[in-house]
Amino acid sequence: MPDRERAETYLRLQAEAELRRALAMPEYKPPRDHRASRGIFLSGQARRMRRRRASVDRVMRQQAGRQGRPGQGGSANQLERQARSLPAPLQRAATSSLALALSAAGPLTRPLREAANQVGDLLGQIRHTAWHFRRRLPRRLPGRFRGRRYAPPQAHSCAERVGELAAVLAAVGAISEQTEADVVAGFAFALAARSRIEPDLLLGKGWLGHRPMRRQASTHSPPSGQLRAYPVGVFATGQVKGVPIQFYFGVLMYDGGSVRVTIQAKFPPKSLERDHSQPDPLFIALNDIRAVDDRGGTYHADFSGGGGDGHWDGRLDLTPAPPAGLRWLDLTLPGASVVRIPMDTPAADLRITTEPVTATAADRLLDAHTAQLMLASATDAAPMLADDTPNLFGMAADLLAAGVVTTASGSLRRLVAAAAHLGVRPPIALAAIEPGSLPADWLSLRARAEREDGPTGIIAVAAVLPEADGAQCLIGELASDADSATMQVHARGWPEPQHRGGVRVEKFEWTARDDLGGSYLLGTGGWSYSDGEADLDLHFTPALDPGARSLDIILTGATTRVTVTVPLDWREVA
Amino acid sequence: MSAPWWAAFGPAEAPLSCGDAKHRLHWADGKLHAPDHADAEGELVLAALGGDTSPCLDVVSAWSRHSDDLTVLAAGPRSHTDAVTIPAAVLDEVNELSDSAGQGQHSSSSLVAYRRRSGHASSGTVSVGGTVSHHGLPRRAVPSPRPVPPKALRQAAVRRAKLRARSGGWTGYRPLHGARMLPFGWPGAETDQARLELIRLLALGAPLQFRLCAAVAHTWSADGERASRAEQARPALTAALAGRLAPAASQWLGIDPDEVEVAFCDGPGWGEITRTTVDGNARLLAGLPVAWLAKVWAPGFAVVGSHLVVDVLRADWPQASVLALRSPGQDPVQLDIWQEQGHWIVTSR
Repeated sequence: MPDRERAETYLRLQAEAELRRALAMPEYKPPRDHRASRGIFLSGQARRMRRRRASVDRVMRQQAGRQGRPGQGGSANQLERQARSLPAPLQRAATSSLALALSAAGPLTRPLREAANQVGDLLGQIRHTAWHFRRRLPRRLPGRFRGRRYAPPQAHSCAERVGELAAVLAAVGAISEQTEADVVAGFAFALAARSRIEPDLLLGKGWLGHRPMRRQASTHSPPSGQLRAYPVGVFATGQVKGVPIQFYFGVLMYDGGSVRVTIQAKFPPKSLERDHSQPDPLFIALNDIRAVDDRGGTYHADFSGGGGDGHWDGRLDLTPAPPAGLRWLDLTLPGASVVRIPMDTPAADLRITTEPVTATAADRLLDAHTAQLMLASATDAAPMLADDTPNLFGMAADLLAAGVVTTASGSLRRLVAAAAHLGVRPPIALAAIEPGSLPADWLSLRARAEREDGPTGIIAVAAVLPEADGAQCLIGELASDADSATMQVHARGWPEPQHRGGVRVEKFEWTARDDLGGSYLLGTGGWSYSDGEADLDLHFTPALDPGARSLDIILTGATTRVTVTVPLDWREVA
Repeated sequence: MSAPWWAAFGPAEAPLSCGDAKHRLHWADGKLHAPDHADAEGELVLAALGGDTSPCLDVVSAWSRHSDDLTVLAAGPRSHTDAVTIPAAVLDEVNELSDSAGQGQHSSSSLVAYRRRSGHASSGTVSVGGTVSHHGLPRRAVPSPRPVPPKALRQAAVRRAKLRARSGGWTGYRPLHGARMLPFGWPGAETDQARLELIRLLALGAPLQFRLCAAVAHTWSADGERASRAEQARPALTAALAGRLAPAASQWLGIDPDEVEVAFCDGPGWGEITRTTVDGNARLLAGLPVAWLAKVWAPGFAVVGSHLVVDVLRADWPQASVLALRSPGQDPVQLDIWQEQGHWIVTSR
C-alpha cells in the first residue's frame, strides 16, 4: 500500500511549484477581434459596395437616357417584342440539352460520387492529421509564427501537469479520488484567482482539458440474473441497395433482461454507395431487422456498432427482451430470406482459471504502458518516453519521487530496460535504476509488431468469465484478419472508461498469449457504457499468429486474474 | 504567555454594498465585525426564523465558517506581491447564484438560511491602493412580510444563537442535511456553497485575505482548535508552508524557490533551517510550525532587514520583538521591528 501522506504531499508541493511557474507567465486576456484585420475587411466591403452602386447607377442612367430620346419609341417596342419571344425556344433548347447532358452523365454519377466520398474521407484524414500537427506545433514555434486564432492561456500547461500527476497517483491508489479532485480544482481556482487562466474556472465552469465531469452516481440498480452466452455461428446472405451482404451471427448474449446477438456484415469494398449527408444505408437496414420466436413473439432489433468500407460489426439488441426458454428466433434480414437463430445451443466447455494478482497497481500501470512502448517504432518511442505530455519517464519519476515505487521496483527496472532496448537514455531522476530483464512476452510483441499475416476467420467464443474485482465479462466472438483481430465483450460492473489528465486509466487490463508463446495486447476500440454495463470492442496488437492453435485470453484486475483458453478453430466469413 | 496570533496585525476594513447602503466590515483582534449592524445577532435570529439576512452578516458568517478551511491556504496569496483578485463579472455571478440558491434553501439546523430576494446593486468597484474591492453584492432585502415571531420565541432563538456562537461558530454550510437546494449552473455546484463563499471572502481584498489565511493557519497550529487533527492535514499544511516560505527564502538568500524543501514541524521551539548542496545546487531545508504562517508570514515580516523571521516573542502592532536568522544554520537573534507605512523595519538588534 503506498504511503498516501507522502504521495499527497508530493502532489501538493508539485502544485505549488507549478503555481510559481504560472505566476511567471502572462496574465490571461480574453480573446478579442483583431482590429486591424477587421478594419481592412470593413473598408474592402465598403469599396465593393460603392463599385456595385456605381455600376447599377450607370446602367440606370443609360436606360433612362434611351427611353428619354425622341423618335426611338418604335424600335424600342420592336426590341421588346423580340425579347419577349426569345424565352420559349431558349427554354426548349435548354430542356433538351439538360436531358442530353443528364443521360450522358448518368454512368459517370456513381464514380463521381465515389470520388467525392473518397475526397471527403481524405479530407477528414488530412484534417485529423493536421489537428494533431497543429496541437504540437505551437509549442515549438516562436510567437510571431503562431496563428492568430484563440490559443489557450500558457498556464493551462501547468494545470495539465498537475492534473496528470494527480491522475497517475489516483490511478495507482496513492491518493484518493477525492484528493485528486480537491487538488486539481483548488489549483485551477488558484490560477483563475491570479488571472492566469479563464476567470470562469473560479466558478468551476469551463474546461481545462483534463478534468472529466464528475458524474452523478447512477440510481439504476444493476441487472439481476446471470450472464449467459450461447454460440450461434449462423451465416446468411442479404442485400442492401442491390449490394450482396454476407452476415454472420456469432453469439447470443443474455444479461438480466436484455438479449443481444453479435453480428458481422461483409460486402465488397466500395460497392455500397454512401451519401455523407444521409445515414448509412447499411445502418438503416440493420435497424430494420424484425424477429419472431418459436412461440410467435415478435421483436425489433436495434443495431449498435459500425465499421468501414467492406466490413461492419456490432450487436443487435432485441426489443422487447425475449423470455427464457425459447428455442429459436427467425430474423428477417434486409433483402434476404428468414434466418433461424438457435437460442439453446450449449457453449463449449472452455478452460477457465483464476489466480491472485500480486503486482501493485503502480507496477501494473507502468508495465502496461511499457508493454505498449514495445510495440512502438524507434521514432515513436522517444516521444512516448520523454517528450509527450504525459510521458512515461515523467510518470515513472513522479511515482518514484512520491514514494509509490522504489528504485528496486520491477516495473521501473523493466521500463529502464525497455528504454535501453529502444536506444533512449533515461532522465537523471531515473539514472540510478538498474535495468531489469525484459519479459519474453514483450520481446515477442516487439518481434511481431509489424506482422500482417494473421488468420482470417471468426470464432463464436461464448465464454462467461467468473467475477473478478467486481466485474463480470462475457466474451462474444473473436474475429481475425490479416493485420488485426477484434474481440467483442459484454461486461457487467465495469468501471466507466476514463482518460484522466491524458493518462489512460484502466482498472482492468486485457492481454492474450497463444500456444506458440506469442503475446498480444488488447486495447479498447469502440465501447459503449451505461450504468455499469459496457460493450467493448477489443483490438489485438499485433495480428494473431496464423500457426497458433489456442489462445489464452487474460483479464487482470486489481486482485484477480482470469484466463480463458480458446481453441482457434476459425470459420471463414465469405 | 506568548502574544496572540493576531497581535502583529493592525485593524483593517473593507467596504461593502449592503442593499442601498455602503457599509464597512471591520477586522480587529482576530475577528471580523459588521459595525453598521448594531443588532447583528438579532438580525441573524430573524433570518433564521424566515426573515432576510444582509450581505454584511453573510460575509461575517462565511468568515467564521472558513476560519478552518484549508482551501483558503490553497487559494490565498503566497506573498505580498502575489495578487489574488476576483473579477467583477465573477462576483456578480456568485451573487446571482447565491440568490438563486437562497430562494430554495432552508435549513433547520442552521441559523443562517441565505434567504434573499433577487436583484442586486449595479456592479461597482471600490479599489483603493489594492486594499479592498467589492462589487455589487445583493441589495438589502426588503423586510419580510411575515409576522414577527413572539417575543419569547425570539429570546429563545437569541439564547440558542449565543450558545452556538460560544461553542465555536454561528453555523456551518456542512450541516444542511436534508436541505433542498436549487441546482446551480455547473455540475456538482449544488454542493459547492463553500466555493461561492470563498470567492466572496477573497473579494474583500488583500489585507483581509492575509488575515483570513492567518486565522486558518492558527486554527491548525499547535494552539488552535484543529491542532488534534493537524496530522491528517499534514500534506496540505506542508504545501501551504512551502508555498509561502519559498518566495520568502528566495528574497532572503536569492535561492531558487524550487530548491526550498519544507517539512511540517510540530515539536517544541521554532524549528530548524539549514542549507545543503544537492547535485551542485544550493538547497534550503526548513522545518517550521504552521504557526509561522499566522504569526510571521501573514503580518508581512517574514524577511526583515536581511533576516528571515522564524518566531515572534512579543507583538503589539505596530511593533514586535522577533527571533530572526541572519543565515541558515545559525542561531536566531532577537530583533525589534516596527511597521511604518505598510513596511516593517528593524528598530534595534
